[in-house]
Amino acid sequence: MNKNKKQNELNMFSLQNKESGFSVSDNYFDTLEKTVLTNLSTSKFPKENGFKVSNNYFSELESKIIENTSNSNKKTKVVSINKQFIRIASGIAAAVLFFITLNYNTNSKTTLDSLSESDFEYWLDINSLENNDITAILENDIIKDIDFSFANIDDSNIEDYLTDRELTSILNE
Amino acid sequence: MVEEALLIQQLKNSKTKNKAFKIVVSDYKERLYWHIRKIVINHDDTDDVLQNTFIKVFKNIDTFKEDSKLFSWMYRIATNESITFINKRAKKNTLNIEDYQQELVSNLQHDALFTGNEIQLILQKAIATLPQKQQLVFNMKYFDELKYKDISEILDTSIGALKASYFHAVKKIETYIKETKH
Repeated sequence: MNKNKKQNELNMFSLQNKESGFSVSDNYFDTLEKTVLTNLSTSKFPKENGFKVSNNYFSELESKIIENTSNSNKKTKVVSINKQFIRIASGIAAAVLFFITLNYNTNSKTTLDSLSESDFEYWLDINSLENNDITAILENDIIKDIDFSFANIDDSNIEDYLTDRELTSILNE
Repeated sequence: MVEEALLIQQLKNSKTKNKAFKIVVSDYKERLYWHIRKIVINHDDTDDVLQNTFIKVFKNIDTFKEDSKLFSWMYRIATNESITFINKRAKKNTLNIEDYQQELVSNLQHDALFTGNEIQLILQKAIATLPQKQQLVFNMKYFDELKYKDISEILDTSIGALKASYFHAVKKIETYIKETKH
């Protein structure tokens, strides 16, 4: 009788252990080992990163941010105009100005030759060009223009051109 | 801290927006600052990026869909602003981003607002050698002690992938430190 009771108790204990109700996510044990090893590694790393700010930075920061956001909110609303339209309009305006200058400003004798070196230096000083600007110009204008011009050449024109040119000069190139 | 749902509601209401925004700035300015600083390294640049981040938060709060926590959304904006900033700087200096970041940490020795010792400097140099994503994951997990679930929301990456990134990052940093010290 006693033996049976003991066996029952053992069975219950074993059942409780198997069905404790606790669970982990499917891949928990897959990453546990790596997590422990990683934590062991980082325990040797410094916890401070060494970055500092001046003493009053954060106390002044708040008012600066509020001021900036209220300023950005007060900006006059700008009606969005298509960029392409602006480019075309400015191109036309420049052409008109150029035409007027040529026709009505005949007294002006400003040519490239008449500009001194100091004029060029002054212009470069106040209009510094950056690589980004040059890249932007190349990407936006010149490359597009080249694509455009190639796209409009008919096959027959290319054939005519090749026929007109001497074969030897092409081979020499 | 005001309950988040109420705060968001106030931020989206033009009558209460300014007041609620002040609370947001007050609660998150330091956490966002340190997050940005670890990416852009330099204090002045961090200040610029932080200002832009808050302006974007202020202007775009109406587009916040509330499918993540407010702080995760702001962290994401701060992260994007920081990455965009250093990419532009690298391009301007005609450097690739890795070289630019190496240059940034090399200058830390002469930065008055960096008071780290030798091992802290080595750690920063080691972080700068990591791919961008691993840098972000390492900084957010190790220094900011964010949970993977939060990092997952910020970087829009699965928790499994984040763990893998973090393990790789730590391994590489450990190797870098060992090689540098010996």
